Amino acid sequence: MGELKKLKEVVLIDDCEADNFLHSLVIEGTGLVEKVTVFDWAIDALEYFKSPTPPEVDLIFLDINMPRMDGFQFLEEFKKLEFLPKPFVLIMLTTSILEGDKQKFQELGGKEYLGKPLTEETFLDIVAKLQSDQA
Amino acid sequence: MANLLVHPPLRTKVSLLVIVLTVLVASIITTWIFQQFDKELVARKSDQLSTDNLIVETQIKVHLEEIGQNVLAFAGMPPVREIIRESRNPGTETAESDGKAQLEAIFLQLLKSKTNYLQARLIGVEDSGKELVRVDRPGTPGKARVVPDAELQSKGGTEYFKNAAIIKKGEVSFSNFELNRENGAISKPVIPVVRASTPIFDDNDEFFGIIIINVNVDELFHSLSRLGRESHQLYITNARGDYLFHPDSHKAFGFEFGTPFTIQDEFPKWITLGNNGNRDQAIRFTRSSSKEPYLGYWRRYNFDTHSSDKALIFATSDTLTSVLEESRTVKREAIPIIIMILLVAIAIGLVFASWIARPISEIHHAMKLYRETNEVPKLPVTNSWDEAGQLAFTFSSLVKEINARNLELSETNRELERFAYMTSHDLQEPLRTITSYVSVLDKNYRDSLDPKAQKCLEFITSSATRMQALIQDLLALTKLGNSKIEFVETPLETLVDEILEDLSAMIGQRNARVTYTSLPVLECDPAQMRQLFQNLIVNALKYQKPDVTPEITLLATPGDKEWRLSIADNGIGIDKQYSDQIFDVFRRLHRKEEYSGTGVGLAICKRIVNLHGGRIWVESEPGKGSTFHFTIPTPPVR
Repeated sequence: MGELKKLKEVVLIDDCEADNFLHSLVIEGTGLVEKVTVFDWAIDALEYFKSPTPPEVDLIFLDINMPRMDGFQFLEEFKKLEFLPKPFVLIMLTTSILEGDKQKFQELGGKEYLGKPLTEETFLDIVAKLQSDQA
Repeated sequence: MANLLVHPPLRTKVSLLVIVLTVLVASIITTWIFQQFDKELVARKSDQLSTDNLIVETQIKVHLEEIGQNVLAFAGMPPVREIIRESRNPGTETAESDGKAQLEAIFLQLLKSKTNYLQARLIGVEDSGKELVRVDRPGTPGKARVVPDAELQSKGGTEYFKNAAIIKKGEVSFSNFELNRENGAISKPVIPVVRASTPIFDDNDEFFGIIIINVNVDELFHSLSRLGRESHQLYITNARGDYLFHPDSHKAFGFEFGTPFTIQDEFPKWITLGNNGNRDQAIRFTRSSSKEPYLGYWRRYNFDTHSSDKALIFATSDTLTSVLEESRTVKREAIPIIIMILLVAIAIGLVFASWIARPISEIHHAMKLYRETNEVPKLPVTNSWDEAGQLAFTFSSLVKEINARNLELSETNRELERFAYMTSHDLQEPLRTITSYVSVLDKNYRDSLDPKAQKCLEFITSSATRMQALIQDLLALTKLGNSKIEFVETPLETLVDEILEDLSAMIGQRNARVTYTSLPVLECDPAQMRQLFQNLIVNALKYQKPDVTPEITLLATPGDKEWRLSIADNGIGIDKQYSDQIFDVFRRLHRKEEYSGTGVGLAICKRIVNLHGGRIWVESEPGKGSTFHFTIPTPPVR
């Protein structure tokens, strides 16, 4: 594993404010990300991606269980977007690992399916995998 | 009642089946037997009528033959031969050989001995058929006398003379049956007569004249009519169908008076003239004037071989009513017996039906008792091996199995509840330690922490607080599982007032208005009811739209065997798809940052309502408000 490149932007979507705070702390702590954007509502995140000049997002962390619009609903809407952020990699974060959910997530184009909380090692692994795939 | 008619009990069904079958079989057999019986009666009557008819024919035949024999006997007598000789050789008569006087004496003797003989004559062909000898009974009818020569008439033009003149020697010609006439007029009282005549010839076989006898047949007809059974009717007609004899005497010989009565007019469906009558059996027919059915037999008898017109029709009949009289008597006697048999059969059917239905009914009662008291019932027919016995056996094992499983389940349930209780209880201990230390950190070291660390501390505090609330609610929920309901008369108005007092800070803070109109006094567990109302009111206060004054209304509606209580708000409402899920544990529709809560409150409400034997549900429209309804049965279900 060589030197890891710095990521431009990572988006966190989770209704739990505490988790979002913790995850952003963990990600920022690695020093590999220029910008961490946090959304408490999936619908707000969707609006963010809908902007005419879509952000260059490298990674999206998505929670499944959220009120109003859950992770899967978000995914379906997200895939309909005209200007998809390139490249985008979806990571699902959840408190409960369910096989059915995992399969559904992968069918919808998700990459990793992980349990909460996100740790520094996990994040580094993901970034390493991402960059080796791109190379 | 209507249900009973559509789905009658088993016993009624079997009884009905037995009754219907019995009545059906009894009526088929009875009808068949009665029909056969009627057929038999008709056949027997047919035989009787035919026999009667044959007797009548035979009697008439014998009678007419006897008359014919007499006529023939006279034709060959010496006085007749003498008269012929004297006539052919005039002037040879002597005192000893006076044929005329001798014949007159013989005829007189005949009429004296046979009272139904009216006239005996010898008529010669000469002198336009002059009567040569005549003995008669003038009057009504009177004494026999020899007619003096002065009164003798010429009869050459008569029908009977002409008929007798053309037949062979030794043959007899009969006239039609007519009414007796004297000097051309019908004599009174009327007398039906028949004439028998035979030609006589001289030694050269030359036609000389005829011997003729008039016979009164009135007595004969009447004696014939008395031969048959009393209910039988006898009719005698000539070849044209004119009545010669009729039970109604004025119809006989009507043609002689210009008012003909014929049998084909009276019974158009019976007799066809020209036909020889039916020789096998009686036929059914009706009179032209009424619908009454008759049974009758008739035959035609040609009494003079020289003319086919000289015939008599004998008809004997009886009404079908009288034929079937015997059958009716038997029916009258049989019907009470049949009814008795039917009643006995129905009674047996009823006993049989209840015998079949009883075990099933007993099983039903036993199972009902089981449902009400939960006691293992004693099923009465477990030792019998018919279907009911098998049913009882199956039920019995089912009940045992259910009881065993129930016991197992309640044991597991109790253990689970104990486990949940102990767990939540034991979780509080370390949690308290965490909150204590966090509060120490917050108080004493907050200023030495950077903003991110402070935020971490805040998250720890709020999570710990939330966990405390969660554990408390879970404890409350598990406690409900363990508790028994204490039913107490509880005035709900007082209860709600106390809750509003407790919540006054929250109500005041939100500037909410909570109103109610006359709440009932309910038999319920006051502590649980308090929690129920409190949770629902708190929810109504909590899930409000910003910038809207919360309006909460409590309403009680009496129903059939229950009270319905409703708590309505003007809050954010709930989407219809969630209206069932919200009563499940940990089901939340909102982020905790938006609306605080543990997700246990409504689960507790549902548990309490269920423990009281009621139902809970929500009616809501998102954005307009929700109304939570629950029912409490009255009297309470213990």
